[in-house]
Amino acid sequence: MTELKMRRDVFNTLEPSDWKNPSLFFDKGFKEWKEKDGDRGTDIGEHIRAVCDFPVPDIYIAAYRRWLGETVDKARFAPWYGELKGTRLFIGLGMAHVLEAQVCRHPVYGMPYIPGSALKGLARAKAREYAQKQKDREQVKQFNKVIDILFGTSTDVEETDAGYLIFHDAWWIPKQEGGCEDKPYVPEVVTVHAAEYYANQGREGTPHPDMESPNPNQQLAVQGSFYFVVEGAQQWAELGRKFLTIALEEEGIGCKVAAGYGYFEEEEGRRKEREAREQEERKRLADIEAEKEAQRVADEKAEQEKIAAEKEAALLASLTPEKRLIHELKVLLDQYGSLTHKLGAEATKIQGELQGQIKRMLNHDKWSEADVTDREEALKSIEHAVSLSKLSKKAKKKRLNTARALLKTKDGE
Amino acid sequence: METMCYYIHALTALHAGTGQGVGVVDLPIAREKSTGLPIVPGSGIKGVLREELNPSNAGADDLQPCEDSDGNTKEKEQCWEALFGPTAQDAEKGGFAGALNIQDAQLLCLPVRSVYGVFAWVTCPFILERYRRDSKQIVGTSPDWGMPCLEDGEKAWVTDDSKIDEKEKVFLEDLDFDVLKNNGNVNTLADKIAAAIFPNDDTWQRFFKERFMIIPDNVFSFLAETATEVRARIKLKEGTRTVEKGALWYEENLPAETLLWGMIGCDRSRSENHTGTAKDLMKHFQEQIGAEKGLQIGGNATVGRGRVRWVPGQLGA
Repeated sequence: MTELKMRRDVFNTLEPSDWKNPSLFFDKGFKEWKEKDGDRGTDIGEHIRAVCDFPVPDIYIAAYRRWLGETVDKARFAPWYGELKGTRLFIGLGMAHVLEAQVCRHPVYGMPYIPGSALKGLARAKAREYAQKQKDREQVKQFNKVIDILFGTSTDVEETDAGYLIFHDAWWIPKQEGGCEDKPYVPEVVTVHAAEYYANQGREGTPHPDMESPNPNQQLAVQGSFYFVVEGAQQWAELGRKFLTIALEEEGIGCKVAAGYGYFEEEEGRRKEREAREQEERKRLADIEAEKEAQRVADEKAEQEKIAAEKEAALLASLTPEKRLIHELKVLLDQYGSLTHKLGAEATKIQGELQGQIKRMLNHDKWSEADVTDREEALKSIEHAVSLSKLSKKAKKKRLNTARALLKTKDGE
Repeated sequence: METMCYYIHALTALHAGTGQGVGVVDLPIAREKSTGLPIVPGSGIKGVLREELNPSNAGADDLQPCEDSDGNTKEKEQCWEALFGPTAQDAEKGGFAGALNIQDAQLLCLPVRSVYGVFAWVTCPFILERYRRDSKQIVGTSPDWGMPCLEDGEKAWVTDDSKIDEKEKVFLEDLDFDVLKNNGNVNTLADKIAAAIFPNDDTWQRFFKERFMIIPDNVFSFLAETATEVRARIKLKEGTRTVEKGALWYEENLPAETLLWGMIGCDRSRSENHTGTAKDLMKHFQEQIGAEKGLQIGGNATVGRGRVRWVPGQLGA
């Protein structure tokens, strides 16, 4: 008996501090019922208010930081910071508890959390809804296949697969770490107004619901913000995260969502941060794509040049030496002709090559064996090339004379 | 045979299950037959390590395996195969056993809610005696700490820096303990375990020492049965948001912050393609593992279970 009394004394005089477990106090620290039965609600309310006074344990803050560190890798984890703005969260309300005021609390740290299984189910439902909205039947089918891969096949098919994505429990964010509240628990009253009426499903003879006295229930609710994280290869995790967070914003999570509980919003600063990060990521991906495209274009060009060079080489090999000389000169003439400015380094370079080619042609000693047409063509090209050159009139004339002497046709002119 | 030890520190609830149960809990965790203490089967850990160290998907938890740029992939693969054994298909051509033998991870400290200090890392003399026996195997000599003796009854040893006691009492869940303090062995033990599991982390070493607690075997046995985490799961009907008929089940987990230890032996290679000695292979294994690894062990991975720190034990520590 003394043992029990000692424990009673401990709980009865327990002052809130950051190294005590609020959750254990909630479960085991309830004081004795007061004499009058009608005070029960008051007693529970008092106890719940005492629990809500507890600050966040320091070891939880350390554990939360460690969890942030574990999930920091952006290539693997898609994070999201959700705030319960103007609303509260009831999750696990239906689980058994001696005070009938249950809420999902971490079994070790005593802080609230949202189970990963609940988050996964919510995200899956949202993804399914999205799939049903697709107009095309084929698209619906495709989408459902993706859902099965990401979330796992449902249990009613014979061969089941585990899902690819990992939905971690959501951690409550302490204020020191950027959360919006410094204490997680908050007293709440849920009042039942017409229990009997609804229990009898409004059958005849049931008193009018207004005749019943309301029955307020003292409850423990959760306020503040949570850190959600989906794990998987980046883009898939990001997709899972999107379904999850759209659902958290639009559908809410936990009990009593129909009464406005459990809706999350992304905190403004974090949203901007995330959007900036996403934009950066999109830009990075776009850059990679652009680089790939540029590389592809360059490769294609190189390939075409290679083919052209091969063709050219093959062509040259098939020609007689005379025809080859003429061809080479013509290519140079074309290049010179396509220049927009006949001044500058490139023009000078081609000019040099042209003169070199003319010299080579004039040094060629087998023109007498070549066809008349070849000789005529060679002469024409040389005349053209000489006319384009920047030589003196005298030098031009000298060159033309040499060419004409060398390339004169058999019948003479 | 080369020997090392490893530690598992659960960061989230850990479900190393048996697949079926006959009691209230539909999906209980694996336990040692003789003592009823929770374990994480070595086979599960081996599989995870095998995948983690697989050179052909090294570093890539991606949907596609990544290509290895350095030329010694083949050598790495042969070494990996020598460590873990060939795949089932390869084994048909010529099988051999892997050189590693990874033993079950055994419970070292169980986190239990405490009124003061939020929770305590609880253990008992029986577990510590086994832990010491394993340590001996590595060091070859007796470890330099003695066992604190503990009489039966609701008494518990805590460290001198303890934060879980108040007025010479510790209050766990439903149990109260008289505190015993000022024992050099208890302090040394807490130091050793803290240093092994939280290397280079002063904050968590301090947290550990403030919460370390040794309670009698029989009381611990009770806690190991009842203080695990049981989660209720339901399945909602699509569209109606009501629970599907029969879709309520209970799963047992080791809670976050649970600490376990286990042993790893390494033999010489039995592979035709690799001629490593036990020493070579163990060295390769330790190099590949590095200081510590974040792994996922056990079931229900897709709802976040089983995220752990896997810490290779310092030899001789």
